[in-house]
Amino acid sequence: MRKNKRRSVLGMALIALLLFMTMTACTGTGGKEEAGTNEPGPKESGTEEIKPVTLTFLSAWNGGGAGFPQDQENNPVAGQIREKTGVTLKLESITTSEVEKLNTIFASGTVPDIVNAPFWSTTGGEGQVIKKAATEGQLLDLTPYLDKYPNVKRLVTTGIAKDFAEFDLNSPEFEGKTYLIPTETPDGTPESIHNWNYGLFARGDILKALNVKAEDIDTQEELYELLVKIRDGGFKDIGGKPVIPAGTMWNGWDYGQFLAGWTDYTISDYREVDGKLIHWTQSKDHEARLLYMRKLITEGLFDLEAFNNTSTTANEKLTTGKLAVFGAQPMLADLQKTLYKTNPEMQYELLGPMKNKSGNIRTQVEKPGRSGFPVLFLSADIKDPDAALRYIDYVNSEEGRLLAYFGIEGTHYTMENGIPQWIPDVKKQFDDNPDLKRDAGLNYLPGRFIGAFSSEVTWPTPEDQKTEWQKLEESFSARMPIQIIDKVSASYLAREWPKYQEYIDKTSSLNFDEEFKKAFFAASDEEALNMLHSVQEKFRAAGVEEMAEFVAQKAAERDDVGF
Amino acid sequence: MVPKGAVIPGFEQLKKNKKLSKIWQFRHIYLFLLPAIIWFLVFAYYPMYGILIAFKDFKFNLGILGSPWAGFKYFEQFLNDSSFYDVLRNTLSISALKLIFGFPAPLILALMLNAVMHKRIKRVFQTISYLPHFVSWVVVVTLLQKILSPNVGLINDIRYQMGLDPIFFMGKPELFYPLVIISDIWKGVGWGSIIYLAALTNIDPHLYEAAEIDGAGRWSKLFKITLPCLTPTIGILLIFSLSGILNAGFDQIWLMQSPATLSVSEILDTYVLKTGLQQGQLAYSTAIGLFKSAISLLLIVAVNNISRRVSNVSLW
Repeated sequence: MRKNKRRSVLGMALIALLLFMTMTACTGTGGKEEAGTNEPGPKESGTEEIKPVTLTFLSAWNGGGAGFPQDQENNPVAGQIREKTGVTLKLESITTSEVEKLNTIFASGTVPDIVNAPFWSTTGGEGQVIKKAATEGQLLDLTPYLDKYPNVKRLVTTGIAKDFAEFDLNSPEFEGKTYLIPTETPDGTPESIHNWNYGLFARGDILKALNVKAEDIDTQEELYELLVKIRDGGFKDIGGKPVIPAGTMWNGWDYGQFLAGWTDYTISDYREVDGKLIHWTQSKDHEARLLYMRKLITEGLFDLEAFNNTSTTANEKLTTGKLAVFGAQPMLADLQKTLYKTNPEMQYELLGPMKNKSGNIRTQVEKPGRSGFPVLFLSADIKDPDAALRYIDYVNSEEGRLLAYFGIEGTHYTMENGIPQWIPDVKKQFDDNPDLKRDAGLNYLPGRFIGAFSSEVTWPTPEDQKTEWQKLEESFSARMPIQIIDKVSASYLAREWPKYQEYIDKTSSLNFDEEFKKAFFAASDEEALNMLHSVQEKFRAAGVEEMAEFVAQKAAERDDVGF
Repeated sequence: MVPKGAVIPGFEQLKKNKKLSKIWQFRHIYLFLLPAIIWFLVFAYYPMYGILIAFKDFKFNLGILGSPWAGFKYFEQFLNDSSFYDVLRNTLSISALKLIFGFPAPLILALMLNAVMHKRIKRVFQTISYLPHFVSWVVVVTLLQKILSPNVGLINDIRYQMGLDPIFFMGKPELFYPLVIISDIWKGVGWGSIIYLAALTNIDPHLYEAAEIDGAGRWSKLFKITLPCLTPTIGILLIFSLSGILNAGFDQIWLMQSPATLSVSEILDTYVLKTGLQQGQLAYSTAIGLFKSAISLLLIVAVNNISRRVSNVSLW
């Protein structure tokens, strides 16, 4: 009996232990605990004591992890920054929608210490979510810290379009508080505005075979005729399979390049048509744009899967020469390692540039400063905000920028007459294998942490040191110069409209672009136009015409408004 | 003799004590329930208070309990949403089709497997049919896309060799539902048949022997013995299936969706994700989710009652 009891107790104890182990095995004890903690560190002689701190950093950009070095903590650049600031970053990136991730971290209260995310406006997408988070206490107010960190202060005031700074970056709802630190902004000069080189690119060997000059294709009709010739020409990719006459990268980016003929130099949501101001959703041009895309799709000229492309499938098509013409940026980072090595004859050429509605070439439009950019923000719960700001301030100092762009002096570069010069062997290695540059820690800082700066303006690469790809990019930029419009965007006037919030609420679940893309695949042109008219009608029902009238009245009262 | 209905003092207490002592007797077994109970409490019941968001103007800083009440505002908004009927129609269509074609499939497979006399062949077929269950939807849809792609797909490659034009199978709204149903059956039929196979082994072999003596053929045995004996299992599984009729299969639909098929593929679950996490309307999307759950609950109660009355099979 006693023996049985003892066995029973022993059995119970074992089961309890097993359960305990099972449950504890499910509770992670990962790096989270370390994040945001600080421990006393060694004191450097003659300097302020720098405590080692580990902070979490999220790059909220779909695919943003591509620039992260393989060894996040012990690459040369990260090591040097840790030495100077005591900060180690744990990098996290996403491969899903940016706005989805932002909503998730804010709603669940799991905001990493530092986040970099897209901030294009405060009336939609990511910017709207970030603004909500700021006004609802999720982001740290940086105002009290700015005077202590002059480089951070410079970032929040330099290279930003005036109207964007007033209404978006420092939205009146922020009540004078500063929550956001812009990055990838120009240094305040027009030369430092980055040219993204958006356009249409066609495979060189196909153009040659068709005896077509790339620069001659600059209208919608000529583009259509070229695509028909490609379709009928029996051209093959590197695997010997038929090419797709036209396509895009992931999720249809950027099919708009195939519709460049209907664009114009615009800086607002409003268009002047026959002396009347209309909201962009109401433009008659959408009918022509829709029917043109439908023509490309139904006649087998456009990649049917373009809007379903993942980055993997898009890259596969791009790097195998499957796309005879693609609309996006030149994609040289991907192509130089692949297709241009195996099949240099296929090198893509810039078509046109395409002419826009006014008969001018379609190019990037900017205000004197940038409107919309990546922003950094800190979690309201960050334990050591000074450490995060110290990091950002340091990498935006002259010393930090040299480190971010050129690495370690003596190892990666030398200074000659105040200008950094790559050590030839290092440059050759990096040019041959860009992944080596990434793993040295030389890719992740410029886009995500540095602003109010242009490396090309400050340290122009000598002509003899430029790679052929740099020269190619520059040749595209030369053919598509940026248009600068020094005006206040009319879009901001709408915010004074008394029914503006009501309009935003009514249209918040309307997605014009999604409805527009749906119409590409409608059973008939008539049905497609009905779908377009239906979404336009929904915007009208929300009051878009009345809003445009209000904006027109307000714009007439001043002379600095641009459409 | 104790008169009927009389209350014996302490009887209830005795009954309770008996139950407790029985639980104590099997305490080791009950202990094994603990992880499941904890799991349900932590992952199913604790998060349930989040549905309050559907009735609130959710603010990040105020949290779920602190945010101001909004009443039924978001439910009204959903009912007046221009997408409401399309989304509901698509959800019900896909679910109904899955029920009509997907529900009998495991039963048919189980009956077919049961009819295979050679044990080794039976096992091979069983294993082959189970395997797709373990492949994630991401892989299944990627495979589908690869096979059916108009540019690099196997089917269209064959068509190309035959001089035929490629077909964008995944982008044709009229083919969307067949592809959804076929891939769903392919993935789940083997796994779904396990319960039926187990139920089939419980049928008393004497019934078949007696039927054979009476001269019953294969079909007679199927309709007169097998199916009637399986009725309780079929009934329970049908109730479960109907309760999930508004779950048209998020993973599968989300991955298969494209602008070309959006008009027939937007379902409640994908719409919740788009409005909630992509457009940041957390309260609105929670209201849509709650709407779906409430309808599902009504359905399961109704179907359970009907089933109890008609066939004596019910969950409770």
